[in-house]
Amino acid sequence: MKIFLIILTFLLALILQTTTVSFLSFLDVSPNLILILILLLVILKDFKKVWWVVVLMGFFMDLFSGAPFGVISLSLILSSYLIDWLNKTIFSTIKFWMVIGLVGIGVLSYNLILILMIFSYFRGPLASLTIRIIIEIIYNSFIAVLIFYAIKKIFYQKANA
Amino acid sequence: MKRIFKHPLILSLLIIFCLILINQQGWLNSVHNIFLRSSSFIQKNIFQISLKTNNFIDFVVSIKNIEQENIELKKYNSNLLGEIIKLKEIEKENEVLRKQIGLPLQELNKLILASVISKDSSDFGKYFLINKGKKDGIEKKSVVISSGNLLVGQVIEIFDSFSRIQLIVDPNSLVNARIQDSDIMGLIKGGPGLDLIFDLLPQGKNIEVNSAVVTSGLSGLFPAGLLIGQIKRVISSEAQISQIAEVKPVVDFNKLDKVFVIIK
Repeated sequence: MKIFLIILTFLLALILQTTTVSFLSFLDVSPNLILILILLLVILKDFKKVWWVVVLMGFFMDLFSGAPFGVISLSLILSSYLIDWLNKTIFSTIKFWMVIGLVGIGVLSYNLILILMIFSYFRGPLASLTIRIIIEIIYNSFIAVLIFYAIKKIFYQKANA
Repeated sequence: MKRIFKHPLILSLLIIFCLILINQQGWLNSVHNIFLRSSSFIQKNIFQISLKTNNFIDFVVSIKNIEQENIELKKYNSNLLGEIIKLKEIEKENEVLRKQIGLPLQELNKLILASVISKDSSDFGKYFLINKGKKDGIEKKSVVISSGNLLVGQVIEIFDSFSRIQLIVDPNSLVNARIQDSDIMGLIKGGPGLDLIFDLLPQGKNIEVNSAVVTSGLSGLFPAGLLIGQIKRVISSEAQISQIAEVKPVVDFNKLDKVFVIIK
């Protein structure tokens, strides 16, 4: 049941990502719902338990993207593993600033890995690319905090009831 | 050794590398088609609803300025009507002259109307998926325009019933262009945002802000005369061998739902 719910949520997020999310752009930057959900899942669970979700969603994102096949999956896997490692070694409890920090680092590493793999994305002024990544980090972290508290409220209230 | 392969990171990386290899052989094409076909109906409907909601919100936000905008548009419209009449006269004259000197009449391109189904799953690239593909006669590198001969992009990936379009604002897009009513030529590139970069403009030439930028037809890929955008800002430095300009595209890519694919 839990696995079914996770897959369904991610598939819904994928459809929203390819249709609705671009209309929520702020300064030409749209949030990355899948990345946010994957990072939150890794923060709340263990990478060992959810690695297959990361691979599956990376595969789906690659199918629905025009970027060379595999680059999104690889960026997603490496950035989520980094976040899992940071979460285990540096932080002990889940706190507000920790979620913001980890999602921020996750978004930054995802973008940097993607850029390193596709050098051609460096075309254009480097300054505007940097500004774009900064906006993306802030925007995605803000949405991650909202989703994180929504998950906490729904599941913790259910657990307490 | 067995332990290493059981590590989740190694295992997931191995799976992805295998998938990349399988994809390079073209064995994932049918999987791709199945996924696109099964999700296209939901995606198309959700995309249309989102687009309409977005347009409605924009309308509500701009309701204050609507009267002023209406007056300006009417004025602009009457100017355009005058220009259309003038151009039609020139077209007629051109046809007569072509006949007189024995030149063949310009061939009209065949256009295929297509709907945008979805956008790219990553925010990095600027791609659209349309509901027409190989079956409809679309080929790879076919040029995509919107109504009014405005350049949208080109087909980069083709499936049976779908095609993926690379927009001109994509960082990997390159279009040979020139400034209308002049001989100044350069290369239009996608930028990180929704603006374009007009690179390799010759040094010492005067480039005016708001000048129209059109395709030059130099590479033979994009037909000449398709409108791309207007010059927004010129970045000129004597230290560089060429000038760079920022171009604002005429197409609003966030509101695009119907496009035309040019068939050769």
